[in-house]
Amino acid sequence: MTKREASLAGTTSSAATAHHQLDWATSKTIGGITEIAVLAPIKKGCVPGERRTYEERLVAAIDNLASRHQQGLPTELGRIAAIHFGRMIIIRPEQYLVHSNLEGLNYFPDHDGAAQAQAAAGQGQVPQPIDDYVESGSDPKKQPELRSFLLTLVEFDGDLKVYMRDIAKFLASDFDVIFQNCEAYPTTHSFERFWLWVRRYQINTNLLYAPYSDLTVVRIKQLEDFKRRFDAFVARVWSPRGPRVGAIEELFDEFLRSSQQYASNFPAPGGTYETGNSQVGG
Amino acid sequence: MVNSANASLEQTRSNVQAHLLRASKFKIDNGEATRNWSLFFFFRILTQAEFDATVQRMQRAAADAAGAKRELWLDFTHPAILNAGLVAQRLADAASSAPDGPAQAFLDWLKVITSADKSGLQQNAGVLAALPGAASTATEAGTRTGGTGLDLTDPIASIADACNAQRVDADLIRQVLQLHSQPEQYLALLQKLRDGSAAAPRNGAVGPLPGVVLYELLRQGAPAMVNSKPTPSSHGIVRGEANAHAGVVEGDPGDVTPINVAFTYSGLAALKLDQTTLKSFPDAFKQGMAARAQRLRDTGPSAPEHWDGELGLPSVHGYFSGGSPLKKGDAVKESFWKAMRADVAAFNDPVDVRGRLLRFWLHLLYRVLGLEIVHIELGQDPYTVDEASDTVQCLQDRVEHFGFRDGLSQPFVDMKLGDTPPGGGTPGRDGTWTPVAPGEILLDQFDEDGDHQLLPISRKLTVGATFLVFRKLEQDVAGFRAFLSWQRPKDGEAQKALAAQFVGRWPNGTPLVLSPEAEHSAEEQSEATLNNFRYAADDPSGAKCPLGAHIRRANPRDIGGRSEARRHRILRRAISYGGPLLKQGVLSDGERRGLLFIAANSRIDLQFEVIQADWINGGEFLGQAGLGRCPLVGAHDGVASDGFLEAGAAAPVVGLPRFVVTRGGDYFFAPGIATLKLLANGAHFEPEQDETPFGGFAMADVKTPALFDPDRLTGYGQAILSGEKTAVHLDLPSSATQGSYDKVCFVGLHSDVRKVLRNEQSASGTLEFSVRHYHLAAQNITRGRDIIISTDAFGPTDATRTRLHAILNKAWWALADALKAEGMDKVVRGIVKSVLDMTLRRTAQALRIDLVKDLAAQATYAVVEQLYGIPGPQWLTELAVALPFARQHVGALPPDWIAALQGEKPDNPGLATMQVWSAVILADLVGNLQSIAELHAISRQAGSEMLDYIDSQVSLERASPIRSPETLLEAFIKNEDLPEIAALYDQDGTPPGQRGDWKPRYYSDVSAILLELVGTSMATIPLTFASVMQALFKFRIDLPSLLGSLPASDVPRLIYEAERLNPNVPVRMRYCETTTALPGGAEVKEGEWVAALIGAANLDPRVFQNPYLFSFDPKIRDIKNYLLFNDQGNNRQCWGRERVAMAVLEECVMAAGRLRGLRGVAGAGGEPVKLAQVTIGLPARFTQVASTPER
Repeated sequence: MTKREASLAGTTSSAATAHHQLDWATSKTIGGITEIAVLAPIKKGCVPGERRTYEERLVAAIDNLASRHQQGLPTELGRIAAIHFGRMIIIRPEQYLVHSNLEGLNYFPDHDGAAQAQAAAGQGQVPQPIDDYVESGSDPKKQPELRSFLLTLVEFDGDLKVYMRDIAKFLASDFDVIFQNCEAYPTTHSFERFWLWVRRYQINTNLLYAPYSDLTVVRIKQLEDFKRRFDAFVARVWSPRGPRVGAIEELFDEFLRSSQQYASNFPAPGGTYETGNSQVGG
Repeated sequence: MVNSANASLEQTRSNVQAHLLRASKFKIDNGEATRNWSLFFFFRILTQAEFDATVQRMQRAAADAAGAKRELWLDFTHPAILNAGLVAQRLADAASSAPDGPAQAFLDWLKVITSADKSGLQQNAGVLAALPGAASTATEAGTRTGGTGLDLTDPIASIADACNAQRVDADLIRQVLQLHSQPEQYLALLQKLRDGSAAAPRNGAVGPLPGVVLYELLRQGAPAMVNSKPTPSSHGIVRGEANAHAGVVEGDPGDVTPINVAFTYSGLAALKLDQTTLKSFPDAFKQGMAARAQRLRDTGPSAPEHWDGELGLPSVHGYFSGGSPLKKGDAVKESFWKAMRADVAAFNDPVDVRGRLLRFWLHLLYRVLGLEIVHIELGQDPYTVDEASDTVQCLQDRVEHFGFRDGLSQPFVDMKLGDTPPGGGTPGRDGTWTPVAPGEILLDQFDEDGDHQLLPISRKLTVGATFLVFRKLEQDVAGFRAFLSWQRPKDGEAQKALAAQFVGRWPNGTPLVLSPEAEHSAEEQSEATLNNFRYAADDPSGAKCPLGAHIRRANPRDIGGRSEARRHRILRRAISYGGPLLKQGVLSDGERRGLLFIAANSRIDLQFEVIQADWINGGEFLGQAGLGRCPLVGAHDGVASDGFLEAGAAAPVVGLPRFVVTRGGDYFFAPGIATLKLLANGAHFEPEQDETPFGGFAMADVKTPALFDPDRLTGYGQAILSGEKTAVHLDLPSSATQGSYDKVCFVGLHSDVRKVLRNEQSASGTLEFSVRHYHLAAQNITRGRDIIISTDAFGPTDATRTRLHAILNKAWWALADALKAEGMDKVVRGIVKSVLDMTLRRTAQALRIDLVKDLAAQATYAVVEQLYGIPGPQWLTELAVALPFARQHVGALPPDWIAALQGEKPDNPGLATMQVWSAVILADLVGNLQSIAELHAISRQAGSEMLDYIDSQVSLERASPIRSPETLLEAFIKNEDLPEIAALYDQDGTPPGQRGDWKPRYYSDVSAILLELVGTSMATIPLTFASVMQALFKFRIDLPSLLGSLPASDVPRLIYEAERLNPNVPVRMRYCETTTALPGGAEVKEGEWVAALIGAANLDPRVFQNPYLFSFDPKIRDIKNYLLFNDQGNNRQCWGRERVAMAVLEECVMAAGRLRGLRGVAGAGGEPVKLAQVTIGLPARFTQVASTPER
């Protein structure tokens, strides 16, 4: 047993047992934009009563959301108007164990001494696919217990806790459908417990790059709408060869009234934005 | 990886195809002239199997075999009937590559055109010329007796005669088969065609295209024909830039204007390039232009689903060009060119009568060379016409159809072919120009960064190679002029000035940067002044040339200060199409005109696509912002934000429409000469050991293991069919909260699958395999009732099954009795036919149809409505609204989500609702292989909504008296008083008088049966029809043509056979009740779930001899063996199979058979639409609706 293995097994001196308490990650913030990264282990085995693993169920849940978004349908994520970008990535052991040398794990064979060439070329050892479904009666050598992880990366406007509270309140079961496939997930029913789980699996981000950190999502949408209304206004009153209408003051007032402030539904509760009419008149 | 030394310039110059680096010239007498017309032949490479079948057919036709001529006529006149099973046809066979490999004849032809080596072709020609039977005696190219065959004294006339005869001429076929084996006659014919006027227009149905193509074919093969000793360095008609004008070794092959040949990704795949090498091609090329539509803004009217002919489809494997200087005389007549254009349009139209004649002729010529010409384009420099003399008058300079000089600014690639012209490279600070590095265009040279392409990985492929972009861009000339005159009414000069602002040049090419006020006169203008300007240096704020002008975007020269433009250059080799310029003041002259845009670059994604997507169609690039889209060619929609700011203007010109629409295109790989020669020799370009980066490994190789992953199923199926295993038994992984393991056993042999699906009784009288899960699901769906599919003929559900069958059969018979004048089959077909007829009439003008939504779903719904008597509700059910959002209840949707869907209300809410209910129910009942809890929940709701609805329909109907039933529902009600019905509800030993109230139980059964009938019909029939049609598309079988030769009684065979090769449900589950030995030797244990691999069983050679063959031959395809709707003659056979499903499917197939020119849709718009795993949409296009299937 090497020293490292011994330390992992918890059999070494007291120095190893002195572990930190609640040393949570901190979200990075640039201007008004904050990030969060959560790395959560996925449950092993089949979902009770089903013939699919938790990981398969997770993939299906994410695919469902992704395809609705891809089709341009509004989704539950629209209810959180603060989200700039979000990503979910499943990380499998065959991926994070590239370049490893783990006992019990099958690596691609190094035919005709190609292993050294591989190492020289920087390929490293590549694990063979790990199948959750094994044939009955086969007696595979004992494999190490390896987990897949769900990595969730989000950039949003405002503060982390406000954002998480919105998730628990407005996404609720939609959020649970995905994260129930991860270990120890308590659901969003109790925000306090949910918050503790988030902190448990949050990881530190090394770089947050935010080139427009002073603009919120809603502000961007509003500016876009402003430009659209402006183009429509110009098209009504002005042509390249001079004014199209005699008195533009009234129309200008109308434009100003329509484009300064919005009293409601920007966005609507479901996350959609009403936009100004941009058709060319006449 | 070894970054091998780059090719020398000399090497590259001798390898890169002539005409790509320097504009193509015609050699006329001793001078040269710019090429002013060109043909583009888009081809598909035949597989060896297809080639063999074609040749056999031709030989039999040449020998006057009965029926063979008709087959050949159909084969050649209709696109894509080749695989239609007229003869036993080998399809792609994964195990052996031979039948689906490229036809050797194609490789031989490649040798002819690249190496002037005819040895392979002649070997092949010997085979072709070996005709069976007595007719093989005829060898002489006949004198014109009775108008048959090719007449050497007047070949053009005889071709026209042959085409116009509209029939298959044995002599003609014989001559074509022997053409390449008789060099003297070949050359004599070539000579004749050259001296005579190939171009002469003829009276009759076809124009000059057949003669021009024959001449072109002979001309292209001539260097080989006269070359008796080909060496590795012999030049064919495809030749390197350095040898563009190289002579030939001996004899006089005539005009040797070079041609180009290039392949799409599907073409390289058809050539069976090594898989790793294939995958290493850049993504944009692999995906093809249609798939890149979003990036390129080929949307709206430019979207691939509207493209012309086959452009954009994977059936385009490549193109080769053609064309050489035509004789003076007829060829300068506008009537000649008009006829040529009409011929090309007819050829591309699958239903044009003249098109058939032309296709017959062209296919006759090219199929023996291993290729099918699938599409043709004709490029022509625009000209004007002197109408009095019908003469074409060439223009001084090359002009495009909007009237501007074109092709002025080209990157100058330094191949040591000349000095850099101004504007031809990267501007230096001192006003000089540095040439563009050859690696920007050619894959084997250093690029601007001193780097070179590593992809594709096989270095042998990149020698002298480039990627070509082909786009057919239709120009709305009348619309362009109308917009100008709307903006600048009655002021020709102002209109011209606005157009110049759009372009950035005056019509004669004078750049606005040099002369913003007016165009230079011819004297002031020289090639040098046309391009000797910069933007950042000469006009930084767009005071002379607007920032948004076309040429400022397409080649920004020094804008941005980082010499960025030099990394995004393309070599343009475009040619216009559509003949003469549109005359001023004319809105339309019947021609569609535009540009065949062709460009060479070494990185499609970094070069062409950046220009097209970011510069032409983006407003923010190289430090500029607010530029909108290109006013000339941008993807505009005519809205207020589609604006353009002229130089110095305060307000923009707004509401710009789209003047240029994409009509087709693709990305091509143009290999160098050495590579073409290797391809011709059958090379596969396996990567050298050091060429595969990182050993081929990628992080993305890893995927989540899934029990029903298609790769896993294929692997198990192969292991079982090969005999390596009898079955695969799996233990499902347990989880922390689940103690017991589920077990699943996969079976795949046809005999085993059949046994498992039959749910029979064992010798000892116990049930072997059950539908336990169907039973649970059905109870869930129907709130505790049973349906037929969820019961077994033995065991606990037996009695229910018997009762339900009896109820259903009695109603069916009662209905049949009431309608007996007609017979039930006729009734079903009558309903289906009339609705299909209506649908076809409705879609006839659109030329687009959704095969599933418009045909199969409509037809099935008509049966549900009219025969079953259950019209759908007037409203869209809650679930149908909520399901697209992955919700079950409308209440769970924010109001703005529903508002977002306002525009997408279905035409027929009854159909849409029934479809959603049915799809969900079937997906849970049969498709829920993984027993997904959410799906159970959704189907419970669907079932509950549907059952409520059916119950209410039944109650409504019961309230009115029924004399003679006209629907199944009425028959059920009519039957309620039958003593046999009452007897079904007898308890053991209950005297008849004391049955109690059995009617509620009867109607509970009736509703359940109706739910099952409606649900399975609405889901299964369209799903199966989609499978059938997708299989036909995949195997390139033209249904309309096929039905023309297939006896009507074989239509069911067509459905079964197509579905066999593309099963609608590839896995069906059963539960093992008793440990059972299967015929194949496996033992399934009690308590195991059994996954029956339909996909494997359908390919079991023990039952389907030669399983990859698409065949209607009863000797090798016993109809009893098909597993669709379960095999015949056992208790699991589907009740509705013969009564309803097959009748509806057959009528749908016949209706689709009326859609001439039926084909899939290119790009993302052609993907099938799915709802809960059930296909509900399959978009397609056609050219014409015929009144009956072609016979």
